[in-house]
Amino acid sequence: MRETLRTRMGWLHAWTGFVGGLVMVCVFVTGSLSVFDTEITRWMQPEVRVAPGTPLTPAALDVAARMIHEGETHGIPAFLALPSPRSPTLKVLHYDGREFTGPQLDPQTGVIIPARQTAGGEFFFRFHYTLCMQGPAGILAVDIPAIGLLVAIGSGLVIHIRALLPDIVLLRLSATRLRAWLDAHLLTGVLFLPFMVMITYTGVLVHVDRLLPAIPVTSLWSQGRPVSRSTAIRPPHVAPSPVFQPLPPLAPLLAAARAPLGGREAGFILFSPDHLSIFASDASGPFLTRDHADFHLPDGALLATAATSGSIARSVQLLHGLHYARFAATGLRWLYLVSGLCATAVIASGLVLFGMKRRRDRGHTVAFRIGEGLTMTTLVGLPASLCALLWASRLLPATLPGRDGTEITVFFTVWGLCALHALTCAVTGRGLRAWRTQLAMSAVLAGGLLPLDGLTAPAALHAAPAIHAAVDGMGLGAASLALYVLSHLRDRAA
Amino acid sequence: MTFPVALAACLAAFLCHALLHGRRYRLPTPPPGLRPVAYLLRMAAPLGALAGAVANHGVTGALLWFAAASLAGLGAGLLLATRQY
Repeated sequence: MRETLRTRMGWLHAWTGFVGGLVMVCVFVTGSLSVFDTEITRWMQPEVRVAPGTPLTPAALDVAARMIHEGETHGIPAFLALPSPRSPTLKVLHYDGREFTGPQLDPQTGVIIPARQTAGGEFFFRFHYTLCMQGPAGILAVDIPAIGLLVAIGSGLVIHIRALLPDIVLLRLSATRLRAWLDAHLLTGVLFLPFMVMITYTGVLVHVDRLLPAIPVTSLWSQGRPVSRSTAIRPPHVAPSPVFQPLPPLAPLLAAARAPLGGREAGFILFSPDHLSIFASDASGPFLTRDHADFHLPDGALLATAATSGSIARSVQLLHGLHYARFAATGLRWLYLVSGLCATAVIASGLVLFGMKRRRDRGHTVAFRIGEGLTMTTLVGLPASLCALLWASRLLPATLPGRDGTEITVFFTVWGLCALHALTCAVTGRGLRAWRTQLAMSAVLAGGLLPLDGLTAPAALHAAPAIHAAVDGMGLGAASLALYVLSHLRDRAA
Repeated sequence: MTFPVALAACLAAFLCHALLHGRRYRLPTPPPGLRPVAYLLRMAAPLGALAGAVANHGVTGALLWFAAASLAGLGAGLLLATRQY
């Protein structure tokens, strides 16, 4: 009976792991990089050389307030992102239908920094939870495989439960290739199990309203189609054209907001026609709240403070906070990144094992070769195209109109070409050659980031050496890994 | 300091675990007097580190401990594997 359960769980683990894993590798890689999205944006915008900790002055806030008021009168509602240790500039942002964009100001003078348009680290973040697809389809395309990953984790636990603790640090590199890969998959899988479960579960929870829309329970027994809550409570009305009040000086309001926000730093300011809201910074703590203090316009009198309480709300805030990790200091961010990459390695090794176990019996079939091509596209093509995005951010002319969109086009073009190459080679029986070609290309693109950075933005290297060293160092690390795998594949071919 | 302490405690615990399963990990059998110490260290070291991490840093401490335990396990696995290799 137990063997039957293990056999069935093995089938479930293999197929949910493979199908979901192809997507989840993309999600985990970009999610891991998103932990440093602000820093990646700074690498991609070498013109921004404001030192962290530059004090925010009332004059800069007044310049930003004027820009926001001007935008509002032209029908462009914007909000103000305040400087933080990670992002030292003042940002006037609006939503352009795809992302938040807008000018960056020097926090001391309020002068607009002529930074190039770039997809930035924001692209990694958006790709992580939507795969760059518009609307709810993108979120579902990530959430459903994420649930599949949870199923794969559960079934994997059932399969491995008897040897889970005794074999927890067992790795037999001198055994057969299949055994060594399986040991590596189990070792990382078991050790990073708490992180994988936590990050996947909280990630699904972030967009759970898309999977399980809130519908009033009574409507389930009512005649006809259930009506969603948002539709049910919203009466039809014609919105009057708003009259935006002039903004008072923002610096005194920021100081006044500290007490109602419990001493927390302010993160951003939202503007409405008759009031403005100062929100607590996401970096304040592990609870990702939207606590805010509202001030009346134009006199700036404190109207109210909104702070969510209650155990359920606090639990949700904690789960969101754990996923976004915006409270984490640099050291913990690195641990998130390393854990995310190790989780990626678990899924990647699972994809490789899926192919290895089936190669002998089904290696000649078209379905197997398509599967191998897709695995290659995900494991090697994606990192190569991410590096291509970084190359594009430096090589495209800084003043090119719509250059952020062009960077994204470069990313998808390179990834598409990688997919075409991988699938063509795999289907025609030259899979090994395709692995080698794409690994070599990835090594060149990743290893070339350091010389590219030094040649195209030498001044930025001096302004933010830690950020540039980290990004370039990650490139060198990825290149070394690609070369290591490449050398093993060469040995195998020989 | 929390992370290095947790890392060292978990690494010690994983190595003790391997020692207690010597045949499985191809390690020499520990002398009888050492086994209780290994059992104690395997249990007490990570739990002590967890208690210290949570007491000092709350949620962040728990996250640091889990990361330290995962990385220590990976380190112990690689150490034992290269020893056999």
